[in-house]
Amino acid sequence: MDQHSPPVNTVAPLANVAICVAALERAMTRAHHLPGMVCFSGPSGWGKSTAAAYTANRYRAYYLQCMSAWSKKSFMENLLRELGIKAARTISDMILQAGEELALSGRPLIIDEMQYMADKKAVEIVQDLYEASGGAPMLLIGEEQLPSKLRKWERFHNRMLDWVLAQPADLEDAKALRSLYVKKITIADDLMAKVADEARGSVRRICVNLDRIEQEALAFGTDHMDLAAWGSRQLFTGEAPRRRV
Amino acid sequence: MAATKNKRQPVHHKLRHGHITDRDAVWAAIRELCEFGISDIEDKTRVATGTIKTYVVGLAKAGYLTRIEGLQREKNAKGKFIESRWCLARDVGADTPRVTRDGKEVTQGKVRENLWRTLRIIADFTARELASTASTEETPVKFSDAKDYIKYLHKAGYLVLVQPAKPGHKPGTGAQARYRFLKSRYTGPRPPMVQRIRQVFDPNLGEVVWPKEDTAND
Repeated sequence: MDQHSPPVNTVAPLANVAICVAALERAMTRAHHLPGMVCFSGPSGWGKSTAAAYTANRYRAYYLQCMSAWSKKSFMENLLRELGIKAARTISDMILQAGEELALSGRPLIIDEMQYMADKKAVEIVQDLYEASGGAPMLLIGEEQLPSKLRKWERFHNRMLDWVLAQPADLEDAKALRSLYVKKITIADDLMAKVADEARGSVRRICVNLDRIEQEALAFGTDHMDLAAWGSRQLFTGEAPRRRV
Repeated sequence: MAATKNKRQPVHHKLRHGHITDRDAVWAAIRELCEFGISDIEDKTRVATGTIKTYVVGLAKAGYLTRIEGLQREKNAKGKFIESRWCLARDVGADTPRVTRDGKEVTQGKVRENLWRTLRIIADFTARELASTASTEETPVKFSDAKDYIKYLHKAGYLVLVQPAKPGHKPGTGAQARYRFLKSRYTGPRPPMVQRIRQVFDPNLGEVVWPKEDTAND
């Protein structure tokens, strides 16, 4: 079916992956007088983590995923572990350590689930880190409300180069996922349109449905599925699954 | 020296002052000294001279070090050539630069590095999902590589099996196993190594994590 599959099986063709890569690239190649932090936000299930993984691999970025229970200190301890450095005693020393390492290595930092730090008013620590690193490129990823949470911190706000929003998955994304994950059968474009439509932007739901269609087709003993063959069967739309005993 | 005489030791046999590899120890010493001769590094790390030389030459070709000019061809009182001195020109931080003898970047190990980074980020995955998400144009990751690495990380307790694989004896009944990464088992940025003798060594901890000591003699 799909004659245009990429030469390497990567998630690169997904729209949000491209958006995320472009955002970090802008921070990395910015002019000297411009700030170096970018924010990438969107609802869960839209493929932010996938985008973050690809971007991190491409630039060998350091990656830190915040947790709601983190204090400023645990933020720094976890960051230093990711940098491969033994942490100093005090938070201010840790900031200097991490800042130096970021500045020397020239590698960008991706901070995921950043909304937890914004909630805990621990935003300043990221700002201190940014200053200590002499403006190392940083990509802050979080849920939909992250930009509005961050805007409350005016000084922080001024250090943002760009605010980028994740896009809902569309038919093109669904087709890219099809060429990545559907190996045993072919799925016709008309059924793909239904899959993309019912997913309401969620990459996760598209994946679940592609898998479901493949399973159904194989159980049915066919290697091709289109809208007519699929008929009135249900697609996964995000409700909690019903037990099938 | 003949290669057979100095066989490379398994990584878990030789932790040097907390450094996993000889090169880690050498790089740390270089950063500490900034200006040095090979013998200074040797004194500090007790790493074999040849190992240090090869690495220093590679680093110099890659632009991390510069040779301090003006000392070559000079002899000391005993009529021997004075040792070259080097200076750290580009410090890239704690992560040991990986260069070949010719100063090219080492690409070996990038697949594992991508896999280890990716499984931590996406947290929940099948082997196929992991392979495609960990792939970049520069470093393609094969499905079989992902599957193999998952197998060992699962044995070593980094991953839990959330949905066992189902064999597909009848069409439509097969499903890939789904794994989840345990956040508490993130030990650091260096990917756990599967050694040739089929044990898993975590370079972040400097420990063999699988098989466990007490079950090693089964």
